[in-house]
Amino acid sequence: MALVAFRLQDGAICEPRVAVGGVEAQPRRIVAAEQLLAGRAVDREAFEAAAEAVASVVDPLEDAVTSATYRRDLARTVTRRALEQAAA
Amino acid sequence: MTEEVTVDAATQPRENQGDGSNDRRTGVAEANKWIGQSVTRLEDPPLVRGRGRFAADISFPHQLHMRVVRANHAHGRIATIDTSAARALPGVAAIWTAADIADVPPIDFREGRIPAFEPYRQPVLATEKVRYVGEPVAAVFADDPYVAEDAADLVSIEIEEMPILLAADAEPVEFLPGRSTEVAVIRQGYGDVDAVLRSAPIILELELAIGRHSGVPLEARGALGRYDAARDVLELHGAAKVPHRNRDLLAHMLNRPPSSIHVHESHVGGGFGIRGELYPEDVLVCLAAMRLNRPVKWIEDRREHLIAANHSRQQLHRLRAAVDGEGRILAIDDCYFHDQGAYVRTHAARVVHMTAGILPGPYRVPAYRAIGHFRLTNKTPAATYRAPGRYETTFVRERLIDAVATRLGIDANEVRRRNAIAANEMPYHRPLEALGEEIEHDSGDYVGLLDKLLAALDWDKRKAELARRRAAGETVGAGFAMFVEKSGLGPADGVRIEVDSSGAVELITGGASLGQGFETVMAQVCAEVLGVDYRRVRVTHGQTDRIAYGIGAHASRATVMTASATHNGAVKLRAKAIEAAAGLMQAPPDTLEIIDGKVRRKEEPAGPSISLGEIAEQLAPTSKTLGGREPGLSAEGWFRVKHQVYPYGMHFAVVKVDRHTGGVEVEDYVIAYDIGRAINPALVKGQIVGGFAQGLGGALLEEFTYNESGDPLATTFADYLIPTTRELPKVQVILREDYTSPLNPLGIKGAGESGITGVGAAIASAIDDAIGVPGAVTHLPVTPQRLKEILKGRASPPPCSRAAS
Repeated sequence: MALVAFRLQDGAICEPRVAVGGVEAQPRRIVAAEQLLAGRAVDREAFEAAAEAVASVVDPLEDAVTSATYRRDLARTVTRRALEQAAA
Repeated sequence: MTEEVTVDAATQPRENQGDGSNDRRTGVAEANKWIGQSVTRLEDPPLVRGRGRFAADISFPHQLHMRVVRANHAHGRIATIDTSAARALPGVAAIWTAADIADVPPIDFREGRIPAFEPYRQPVLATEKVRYVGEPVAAVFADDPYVAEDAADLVSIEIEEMPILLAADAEPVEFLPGRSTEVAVIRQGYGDVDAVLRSAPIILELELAIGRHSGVPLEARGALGRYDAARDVLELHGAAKVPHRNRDLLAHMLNRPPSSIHVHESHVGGGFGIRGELYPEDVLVCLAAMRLNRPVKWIEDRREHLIAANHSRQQLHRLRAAVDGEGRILAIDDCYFHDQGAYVRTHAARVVHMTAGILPGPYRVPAYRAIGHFRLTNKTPAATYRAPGRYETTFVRERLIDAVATRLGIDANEVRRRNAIAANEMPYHRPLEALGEEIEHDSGDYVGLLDKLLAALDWDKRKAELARRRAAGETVGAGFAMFVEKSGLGPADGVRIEVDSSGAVELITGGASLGQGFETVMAQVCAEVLGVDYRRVRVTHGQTDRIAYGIGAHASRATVMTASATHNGAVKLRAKAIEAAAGLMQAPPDTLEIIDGKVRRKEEPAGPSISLGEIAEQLAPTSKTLGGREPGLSAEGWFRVKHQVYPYGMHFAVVKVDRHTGGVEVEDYVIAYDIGRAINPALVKGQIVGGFAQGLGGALLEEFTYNESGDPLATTFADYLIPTTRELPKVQVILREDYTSPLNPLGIKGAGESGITGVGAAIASAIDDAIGVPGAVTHLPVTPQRLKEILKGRASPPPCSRAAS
């Protein structure tokens, strides 16, 4: 799952926070994604970049049932969706 | 979740079946019409008031509590078992290992001896080796369940690990010296399959897998043993499904007369085929009750249930089919691997054998060969789960129908039309067996039901709407599945009906209730035939001390078999009551009728009458008016059959796929089913919708997974995912009474498994359609991860097809 929060100031994303859980052993903030969002306008491109950043920096758990690849894919999707929800 | 049910027979004349029996109800007085009514359940008052009595609700004074110590290794030799620390715990009465019960044989097969399989039976407690995680190794008996559990944790078992086998399609290994883990190769078939495969214009090849899952009843298992030394009677409480069969197995294993063992069923919180078989724990509580001289109670916890109760379903099919240029199937050649788990349990080869017999389903298949590899692995033993063999084969067969449609570029329902057995071919005999009986489809119109479903769906319009949504970017699609069920397993069932001096009726059956509404349905049949209110009928079931014979509730048999026996018994009882009343009322018997428990003159409804209670008094052994009659207002009814009945249906699914997560949402689901005759349509609907929910679990969610060491990974509901109300769509049930069965007096076909049979098949087809990849789904359950792999094009390739050279 992903949790995101940001303020909008004059149409720009301010103080973004992005965190994912259920991907690694502990939930954690993904600072790389936050940095990508800061100062950007609320748009699809920014969200996809942030989601991609999450997918690339996480080190997902892998077990006999669920692959790291699938957890990485889900991390990308839930981050983007959380951002879209927050902006809606 | 909302549900709709449509029962068409009420508004449409029954179709002519040429057997002169199109309305057997002609002549039933309005007040006596109970069959076909959705009356409320007789079972419910104690259940909704919290007065039910499930296994855990039963206790006996001075009882011991049993805790089973289970293997933590999937395969290994037992080096030592140290029980000393556990024995030292205050409150522990005894601890048993296999050595303590060396005189008790392994658990037998339910339907009689099968010498070739006997070496593969499960011992009550593991001897020498453990073969799956969860296998009972020791049993602790203590004054208190918590002490028993603590003591069980102190039992230390040293295992010398051995290589494990987890795949049924891998090379078999040695089970015992001279015995392979391939228990048997099951073969069924007819026709020259090889010749057809050589000459056919089109050959399709599919590899399809069904995941390991099973029934997960709300109430886990439970068993209480009590030995009454004063009467020399052994009692087993907490039984379900097949109490009489289990009595007979126990009698053999414990070397006691069957009549000295009383098996008692109380309320059962769901069975689904897996609960109620004779398991090691049932034998242990009985043995311990006799040997420790105290009642013994065992209640299973959920983790135990998920690793110790029967698993089911896991099969891998490699199928070749020969098809002509018009899509007609010419031959099917199926080689499949049945993952039985570690031992052969009470069902023996039932599922693997039925798989071969039932796979062709509703279609003419001129040549057929099924070779089933019945193999053991180091996993929980498997057996039947609701629609055993049919859920699996309907998935396989309907995947083939879709593959034929894709190969020829025609609609899958057109392929069904070209292959389905026609109404005028009934009864349709096929030289295959299911449950030891030759298959004979008794009646039905498969294409007719397809047409009715398409009309009810307004299919052309729906299809266009789905195409429009797909064009707009939505990943939605629809799928169908056609199936033939089998129900009403014989060979015989009997009941005894007794009327007491108050006019109350007791119907004593050898049937069983797993919560499906058995009492209500039997009471409705008894009430209508006899002429009483159904609420006057007390239905007794699952009590081996009340009736000597019974086959219980499984194989969608209860309504077909027990209700038919009830019908026959009630006809006799009614005749006896009328005959006795005729003398008392000085009227010819054929001028009398029984309405609401009173015998009266047909011509004079408001005139004098005599109640069934009064007749019972007149027929008492001490009655001066008894005359030469057998005493008592009572009768026995029996029903025997040679063949099961074969109801049939269609499933229809609309799904929406989330391309990003691989998640599947079922938007709509419709089940059309010809039940012949619905005794209680609301209860039939409940059976069908409940079955659907379980089928959805097997299609999308439920899977018993293992790691490479053979450790079970789905041991809680966090890992073994069952559908909740959130995952369930609206389910529409189109219940038809088009073709009553000619095989029983009421024309009944069973209903219990029809809701689950086609779900895997229809959902798979709908997912293919939604993502636009024919044949994409080859493996159930379609978990989000598996579907995501398919969407990325990284999954195993779809079933290949090639033209014959």
